[in-house]
Amino acid sequence: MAKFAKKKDGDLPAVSTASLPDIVFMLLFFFMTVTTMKDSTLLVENTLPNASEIKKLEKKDRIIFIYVGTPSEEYQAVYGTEAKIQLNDKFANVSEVGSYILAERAKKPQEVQNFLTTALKVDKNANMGLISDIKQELRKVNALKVNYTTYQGNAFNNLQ
Amino acid sequence: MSFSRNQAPSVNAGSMADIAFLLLIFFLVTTTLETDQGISRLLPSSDTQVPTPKAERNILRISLNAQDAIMVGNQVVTLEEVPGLVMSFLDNGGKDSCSYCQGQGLNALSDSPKAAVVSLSSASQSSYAQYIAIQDALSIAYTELRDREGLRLYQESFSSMKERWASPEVTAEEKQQLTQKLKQLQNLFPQQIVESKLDPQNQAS
Repeated sequence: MAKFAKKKDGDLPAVSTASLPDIVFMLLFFFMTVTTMKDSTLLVENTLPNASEIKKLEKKDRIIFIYVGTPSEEYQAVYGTEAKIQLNDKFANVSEVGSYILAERAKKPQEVQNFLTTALKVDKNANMGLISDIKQELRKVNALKVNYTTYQGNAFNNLQ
Repeated sequence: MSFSRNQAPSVNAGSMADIAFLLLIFFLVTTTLETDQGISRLLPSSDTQVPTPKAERNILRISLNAQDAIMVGNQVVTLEEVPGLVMSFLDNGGKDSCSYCQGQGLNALSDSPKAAVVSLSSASQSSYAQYIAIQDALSIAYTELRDREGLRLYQESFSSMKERWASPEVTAEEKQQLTQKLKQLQNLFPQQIVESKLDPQNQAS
């Protein structure tokens, strides 16, 4: 049986890894397209509530973020466990919200300054008192378009 | 020379995967899968004059107390009942002529959707989650009514028109038409929500 010459044993052909870069690049492009750059580190707990009737925030350059929640564990010793406001990278008081909005607005290009939305990213365990105060501040500086950022989901599950 | 003249030497591409992995890990670390979606609302401007008083029947009072209990009008209700109550309030079609309303025309509820105002007051101790749930319920009520009118007038629901409007493949001309229809529907059921703090004195009484 010369035709079926026995192969040398222990000689598996190596798996070609030539396509590995292509696969990794594909992954890379996937992540580049579906994610957005982190702009500030969260200092507060931020579990958003659920809602179903929601609207996507389209243009990222027209949004000003305000985070609210209890300080994360490593900051609780200093800042306590009451819900706090986070503006950019630091904690702030309600009274600072107005000037923050004005400063952020001034940073944006002229043509979008009238179309800014304030996204309130509020932890679902926060109290309404603080939110009402923030809204009062927003009204004072005429930042009237707000968006309560939420997860997509059923609002009836919020309290569980 | 061992290389033949026509054959360029091939570059070793073995490290390409490593480079790509490095880039991939960089992007994984610096980016987030952020959820930028939520309920949009327009706050009333701070320099509004004292509004002309409205008839009590045109105001639906929703209150949220510190224990997260919801009261609509004079009744304590569960969250699930809110959209239905809001819809029957808006869609009542009282003494003003409202050709498209399908409500029962009760005396206790609103004259017309255009006059109807929802007043939402929340105590400062009530939770944000419940507040959002109520805002969501209000949106559900408005969207459902607009959907119904959309189907009646344009054979397409409000939400599907809105979806089409936001999709990238819609043409400019179509978009203009859709904008007009959407505005029309929004005018039929304008979202008029007033928010206030729940006064503890009122709450006690």
